[in-house]
Amino acid sequence: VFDTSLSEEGIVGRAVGMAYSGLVPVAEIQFRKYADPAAEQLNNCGTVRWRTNNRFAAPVVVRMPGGFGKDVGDPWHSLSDEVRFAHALGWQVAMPSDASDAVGLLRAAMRSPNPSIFFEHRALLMTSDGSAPYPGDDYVLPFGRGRVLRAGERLTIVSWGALVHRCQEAAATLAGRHGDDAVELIDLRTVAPWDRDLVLASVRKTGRCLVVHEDTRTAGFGAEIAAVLARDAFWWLDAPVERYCVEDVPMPYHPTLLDAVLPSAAGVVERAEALLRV
Amino acid sequence: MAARPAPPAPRAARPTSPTADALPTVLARVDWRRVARHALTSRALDDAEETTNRNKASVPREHLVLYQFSARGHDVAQCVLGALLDHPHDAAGAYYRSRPLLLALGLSAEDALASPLGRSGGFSDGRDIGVVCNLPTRGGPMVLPMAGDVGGQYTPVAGWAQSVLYHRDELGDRAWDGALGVALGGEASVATSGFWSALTMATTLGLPVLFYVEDNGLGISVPSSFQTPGGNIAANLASFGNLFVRDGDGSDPLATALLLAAAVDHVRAGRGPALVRLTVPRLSSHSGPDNQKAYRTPEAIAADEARDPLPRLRAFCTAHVMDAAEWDALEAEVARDVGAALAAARARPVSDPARVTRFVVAEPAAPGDADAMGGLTDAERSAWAVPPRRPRAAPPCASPRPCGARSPASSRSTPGSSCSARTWA
Repeated sequence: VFDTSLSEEGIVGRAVGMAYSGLVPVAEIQFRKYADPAAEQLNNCGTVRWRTNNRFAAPVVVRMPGGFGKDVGDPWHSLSDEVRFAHALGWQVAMPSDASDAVGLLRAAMRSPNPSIFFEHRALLMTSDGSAPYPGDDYVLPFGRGRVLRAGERLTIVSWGALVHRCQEAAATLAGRHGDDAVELIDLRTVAPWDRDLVLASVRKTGRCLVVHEDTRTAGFGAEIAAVLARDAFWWLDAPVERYCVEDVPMPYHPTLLDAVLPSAAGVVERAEALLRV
Repeated sequence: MAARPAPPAPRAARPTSPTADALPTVLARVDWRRVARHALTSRALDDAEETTNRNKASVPREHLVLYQFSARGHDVAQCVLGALLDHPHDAAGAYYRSRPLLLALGLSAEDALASPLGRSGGFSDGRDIGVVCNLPTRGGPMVLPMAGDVGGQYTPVAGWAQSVLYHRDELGDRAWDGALGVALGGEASVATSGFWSALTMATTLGLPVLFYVEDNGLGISVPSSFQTPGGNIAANLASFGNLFVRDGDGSDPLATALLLAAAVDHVRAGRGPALVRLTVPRLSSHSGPDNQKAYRTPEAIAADEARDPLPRLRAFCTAHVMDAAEWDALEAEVARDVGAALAAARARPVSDPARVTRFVVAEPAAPGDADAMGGLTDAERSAWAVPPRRPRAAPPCASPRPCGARSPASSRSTPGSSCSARTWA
C-alpha cells in the first residue's frame, strides 16, 4: 500500500501502467465522484484488450466508495451511478451488499483477467448492515452470480448494494402479510456481468418483478433488466416489470431531503403489494 | 512502496551545442547505421502513404490511408531515441507521430503499412486507426498501447516506471535495474492534465521517466504559445524540482544524440526523471485531411523545409560513419524493402468480421490468439484456481407464441437466443 499524488487520472493511469508490467494494482478513488478526472484512463483501460486484438490487457481493480451515507448524502460523496461502468466496455462491476461478498468479489476481481470496478457502499462501511462473518482466506466469489436471499413464488425483487438491506426489511414485512413464500429476493452482487439466468428463472417462476436501485431512473441498470425481462420472460409475466429507484435528481444533503429521494423499505412494500394485486 | 526522492536536478534548461569532443562518444554510443535505416524507412513509409493519398482520384480506395500522420521531420530524433532504448524492461508511451520510434524498436515495415490500411494483423487487426500503435515485444523494449486521445500516454508510462522500482526493490528482481519509461508527446500535449499528473508522479517519487517532447511549433494549427507560456516547456520547467531538463535542436543528429544520451543516462542511473524538449520542423500538414497552407505562410513552411533533419543525418553519417555510396545503397535498399512491404500489406486480407466481437473481455485461448501482455500470466492465474462459473445454458422458448427466447424447462443451449451477454472468462 502506498500513497499517491492527488490526481485521479494519475492514480488510474499509473495502475494501468503497472498492470502492463505484470503487477496486479488495486487503485483506490476516495469517492466515486472523484473518479471523474480519471474517465479517460478508465475508458481507455476498458477497451485496451479489444483495440490491441488481445496483444495487451490491463486488468486493474479500482475501488470506489459511494452511495448514500448514514443520515447524510450529497452530490459529491453519494453518487451511485454504477450503470456508467456497466455501460463502459471491458469492465466488470461489483456492488457487494455485505463484507463477506466483498471479500469474495475482491479476490475474484484481483484474479480476473478483466479490469474491475469494485464499488463500496458508504452505508455498508462500518455499519451492522454491511457486516458479515469472515468467509475465510480461500473464499472467492465469481462475478455474475446473484444470490437468492429469500425464496418465493409470486414476486421477484431484484436489488444490489445497500438497498438490498431495505429490500430484506420489506420482504420480511411482506412475508408477514402475504405468506413466507410470496416474495423471492435476489441480490445481484455484480451488475457487469449480471446473473440474468438467475433473474430470468425467478421471474418465469413468479411472473412479477420489482427492480430496486439507487442509481437514477432513466437508463439506470433497472432499465436493462426490464428490457431483458420484457423480451425473455414476456410470456411468463403477470404484471408490468416495475422499477423503484431514485428519480432523475442528484443526491441531496439534508436527511429529510435524502429520505425523500431514496427508495425506502415502506416504498418497496407499497410497490410490491401493488404488483401482487395485479 | 517507499517514495524515492531524487537528488537535486540542474535548475536550468541548458541548450547543448555539439562539440567535436563529444563526437567519439556519440559515435560509439549510437548505431548510426540503424538510425539511418530506420529514418530512411520512416520517410519512405510517409512518402508511400502521402503519394497514394495525393493520387486518391486514381488509386483504389482500399489503398488510401484515412488517418495519415506524417512523422516527416520528427523521424531522425526518434530513431536516435530508439537506438538508446536497449534495456529489456524499457517501455515507451507513444502518440500518433511515433512511428519512427516503433521502427527503431522492431516494428516491421509491412505491419507499419498494413495497420493504417486497416488490414489483418498489425497493431489492432484493423480495429483501430493505423497510428494508434503498440508493440508487445517480449524480452525487449516495448511500446505500451497508445490511446487515441492526446495526453493519455503519460500516466501509464509513469506507472510503468513506478513498476520498474517495484519489481526491482519490492520483488527483488535486479533484472529491472536501470530500466525506464519514456513518454513521447508533441508540445501541445504539455497542456494536458495527463502530462502534469505524470510529471508530478515522476518528480515526487523520483521515477525513471524520460519525458520526450517534440516541439514542431503547432498543435494542428495552434501555436505552442497557447500550450505553455512562451511556447517552451523546458524553459518553464527549469525550476521544477527533481527534474533533469534539456532543450535542443531535434534536427541536428549530433546535438540530439548528446542530449538524449545525457537524459537517458541520468534516468538509468536512478537520479530521477528527465525532460527533453527537441525542436523539430513540421514538414507536412497535421494529418492527411489537413491543409497547412490555410494557416501557415509560405515563408514559414519554407523555413521548416530548410530544417529537414534527413539531409543533416546524411551529412553526419557520410562524414563519420559511411561513405556516400553506402548511404545511397542503403537508401535504395530501404526503397526496395518498403516497396515489397507495401505490396505485402496491400495483399493482406481484411480481418474476418466474425472476429470483431472477440476480446472485449478475456476469452479462452483459441489457436492463433495472441497472449496478452499485462496482469498475471495464465500460469499465475491458474495457480489460484478460481472456481468455474456454473453452466448458463437454457433451452428455446416454449411459449405458445415462439419468440426465440429461452424457457426454464430444459437445460439445452440455444444458438441465436436473445442472451447476448458478453463472454466472461
